[in-house]
Amino acid sequence: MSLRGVRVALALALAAGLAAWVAFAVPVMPSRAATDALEPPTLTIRQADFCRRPGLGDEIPDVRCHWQTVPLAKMWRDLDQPKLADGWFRLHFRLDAVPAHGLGMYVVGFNRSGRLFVNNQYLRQFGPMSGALPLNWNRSQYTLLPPALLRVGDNEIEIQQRIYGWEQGWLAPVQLGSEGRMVAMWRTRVFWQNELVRIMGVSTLTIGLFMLGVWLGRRSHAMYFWFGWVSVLWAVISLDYFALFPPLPAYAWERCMEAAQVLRSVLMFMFTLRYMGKRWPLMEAGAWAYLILGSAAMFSELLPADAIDVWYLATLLASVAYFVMLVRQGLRHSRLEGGMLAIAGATQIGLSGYDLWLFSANTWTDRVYLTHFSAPLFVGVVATILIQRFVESLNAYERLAGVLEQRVSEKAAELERNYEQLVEARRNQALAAERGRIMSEMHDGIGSQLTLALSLVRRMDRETNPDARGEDGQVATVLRESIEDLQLIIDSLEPVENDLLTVLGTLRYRLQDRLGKGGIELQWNVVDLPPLPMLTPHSVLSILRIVQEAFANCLKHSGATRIAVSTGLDGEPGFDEMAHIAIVDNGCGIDGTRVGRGLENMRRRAEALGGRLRIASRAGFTEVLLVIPTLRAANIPQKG
Amino acid sequence: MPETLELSQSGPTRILVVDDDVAFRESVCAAIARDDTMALASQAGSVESAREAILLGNFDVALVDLGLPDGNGIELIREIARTRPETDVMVVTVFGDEAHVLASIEAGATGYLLKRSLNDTLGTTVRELRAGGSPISPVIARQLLHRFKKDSPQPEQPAAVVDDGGLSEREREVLLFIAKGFTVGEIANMLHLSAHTVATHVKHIYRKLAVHSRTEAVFEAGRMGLL
Repeated sequence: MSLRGVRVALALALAAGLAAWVAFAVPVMPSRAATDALEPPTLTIRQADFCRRPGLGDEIPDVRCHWQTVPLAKMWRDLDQPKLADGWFRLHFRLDAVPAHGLGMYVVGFNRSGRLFVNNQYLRQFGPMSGALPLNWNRSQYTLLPPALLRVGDNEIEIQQRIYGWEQGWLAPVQLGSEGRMVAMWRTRVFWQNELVRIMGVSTLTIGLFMLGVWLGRRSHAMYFWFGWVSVLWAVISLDYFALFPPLPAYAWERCMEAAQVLRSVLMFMFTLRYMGKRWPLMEAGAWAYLILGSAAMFSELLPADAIDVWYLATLLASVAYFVMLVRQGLRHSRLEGGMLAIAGATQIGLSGYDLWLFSANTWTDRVYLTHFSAPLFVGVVATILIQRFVESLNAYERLAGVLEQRVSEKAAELERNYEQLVEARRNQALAAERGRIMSEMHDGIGSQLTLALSLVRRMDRETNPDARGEDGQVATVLRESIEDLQLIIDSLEPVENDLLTVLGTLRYRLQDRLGKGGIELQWNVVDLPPLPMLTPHSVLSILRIVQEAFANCLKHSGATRIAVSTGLDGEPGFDEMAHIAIVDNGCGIDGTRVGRGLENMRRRAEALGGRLRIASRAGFTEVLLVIPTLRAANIPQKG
Repeated sequence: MPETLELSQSGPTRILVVDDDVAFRESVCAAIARDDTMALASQAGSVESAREAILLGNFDVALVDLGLPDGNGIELIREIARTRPETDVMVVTVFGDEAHVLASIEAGATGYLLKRSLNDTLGTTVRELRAGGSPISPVIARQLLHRFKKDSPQPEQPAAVVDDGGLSEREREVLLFIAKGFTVGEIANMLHLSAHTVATHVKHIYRKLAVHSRTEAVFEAGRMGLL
C-alpha cells in the first residue's frame, strides 16, 4: 500500500471515529432514574382494544363500536375510505401508586396523526388531523401522562389514529415508565432513525453539490456529473426519514420515494460505466426504461402493490453486478481503491438486502431500516476516490505547468543570452567598422601625408647636407616620431585577442630594425599568459607606450648591448592576479639625470592601468618592472 | 624552392612600382638605383597604366599601393597573382596594419612594406621575398591562426593531412610563435629548422590563404547561383 493509501485510510478512520463520536455523544441524556427513588416500574402494553367507526368523529366511540382485543403492534387500513380514516385504540393498565412526576409514555411506531386521551380525558394531539398528515412512519412518539389524569388501580389510554385510507396505520406496543427512561429511549430512537439520517442527508447533498460543481467546471468529466446526482439522490431519499411534511402529496411522495431508490441505482450504473470509461448505449437505455416503466406502473397501480418487491429485488441484483464491475475497475487503479469500493459496495448491498427483506414482510416490526447508513461510507469512498483523482490531475497539471514554466524561462534565458551575444556582436562589428574607418582615414590621410612629408624632408636634407649619411635632421625626426606615435596608436587598435605577448611582440617587431642597427641583442624570455581581459585598445596603448619608453631609454642613454624581456603572472585568478613585464638591460643604469619626465609618465600610465612601475638600477643592470592587473579595472573586486 | 633561388641568381630583380605619389616613386627608384640586386622594370601612377605594365610582364616583384586614383590596388594584386603567379607582389602600406595586409594577402600578395622605412628595408625585403621568405607581424600571425581555425571544418583533422583550407601542424606552430613575438631566427632555433625554412613556411601560408579565399569565393558564388 502506498504512503498516500495509508494517509487516505487514516483519514477515513478518523472521519468514521468522529462520526461515531457525534452519533453516540448526542443522545446521552441525564436520566431521572438515578435520582428518583419513587421511580415507577416500566411496563409494556402488548395488546389493546381496537375498533373502527365509519366517518370521522372526535368523540371516543362507545360500546356500539365493535371493540376487539388485538395484539400490538396492530396494523390496519381502509381501502374503502381512500382519503382519511380513523382507528381507535383503548389500552388498559394498573397503577399501584400515581407517580409524582407522572408517567412517560413511549411508542416506537405510530402512523400517522392522532389524539391521546387518558381515562377519557383529552391530553394531546400527534400532528394535524386534517389536510396533509405528517410523515410519521419512521418516527417514535413520546408523551408525559400527567399525575392529575392518573389514578391508583385501573387506568385507560384511548388513542384516536388518523391515516390515509389507502395506506396502513399502526400502533406499536406502548411502553410506560419513568419520564427519564422513556425520554432517553425516545431520543435515542429519534436520533438513529431521524436525526442521524438528516445529518447524513445533508452531508451527501453537500458532496453531491460539490461534485456537480466540479462537473460544471469540467463538463467532459461525466463521472462527476453522475456521482453528483447519486449523492443528491441519497439526500433526497433521506428526506423520507426525517421530513414531517414533504413537498408532495402523500401518495405522490410515496411513489416518488420508491422510484428514487431505483433512480439512485440507475445513476450508480451510469457512474460505474463512466468510471470504467465505457459507454453501453443499449444497457443504459434499458436501465432508463426499467426505471420509467416501473415508476409508471407503480403510479398507475397497474401492478399489485407487492410488485414493488420484485422491482426492488431486480434492482438489488443489478446493483450487485455493477458493484462487481466497480470493484474490478478500482482494483485496476490500486488495491486500496478496489478494497475501499468492495467494502462500501458490500455494505450497501448487504444493508439494502436486509431492508428489502424487512420491507417485503409487509408488517410492522420494531426494526430500523439500515440502507441509509451505507450512504456516508459509500459516498465518502467514491468522493475520496474522485477527489484524489481530481487532486492527482491538478498536481500533474501543476507539475506540467512547472516544467513548462521552467522551459519557458530556460528559453527566455537562452534568448536573452543570444540577444546579448547579438548585441555584443553588433557592438564589436560597429567597433570594427569604426576602427576600419579610422584606420583607412589615418592610412590614406594623415599617415600618407606625414610619410610624404618625411620623405620630402629627407630628400631636402640629403640635397642640402649630403654628408649626413642617413641621419635624420630635426624636422625629419619630429615627423618620424609623429608617424611612429601614430603607428603605436594603430597597433593598439589591432586585434590582439587579449594576448599580452602579441602586444609586446608587435612592439618588438616595430623596433627590430632599430635595435639591430643599435647593435643590441634582444632576449625574448616570455612565458605564455592566459587571455587578459584588461587588454582594451586603451590599456594596450598605455602598455605599448610604457614599454616603448623603456626601450627608448635603453637605446638612447644606457649604451646597453643586451635587453631581456620577460613576462610572468602571480596572484589569485579572478581576484588580484597581476601580470608582470620586466625589461632588463645591461647598460650603465639610470642616473639622476635620467629620472625625468619620461619615467614619471611611465609610472603615471602604469597607475592609470591599476598597476605599478618599479625600477631597479645599478651599473650594468637596470630592470623596469611593469605590474598590471589582469582584470579590467571595473571588474576588480574591492577588498574589504 | 630551387626555382626562386635560380631566379634570384639570374640577375637583378626587376621591380614594378605602382603608386600615385610621385615623390614616393622617385624615392623607390632612388633606392632601387642604389642597390645592384634590383632594377626598375617600370612604374605606374594609376590602375590603367599599371595594367599595361602587367601586360608587358617584365618584372619579378611588384610594389603596389592600395589607394590609387582610378581604382583599388587590391584588384591589381589579384590580377598580377592570377596572370603572373611566378612574380611576387608586395603591398605598400603606411602602418602595416592587419586589415590592409590581410586583404592584400588574400588577393595574392606575399609581402608588404612600410612606406616610411622603405629606403632602409626595400632591398632586404625583396631579397628575402625572392628567396622564398615573407615578412609577418605578430598581429597578422594571430589573425591568420584565427582565420584558418574559423574556416577549418574539422578541427580534429590529423596534422599530416594538408589541404588548401587547413594549416599543417608545423605552420600552425610557426604562426603561434610569431604571434607570441618570437623572431624567425628564434623559431628556427626552437624548431630545429633553418631560418629560411621558417620564412618559406610563412610565404606558403600566405599562398594558402589566397587559394583558400579564392576557393571560398568560388564556393560562395556557386552557392549563390552565379556559377
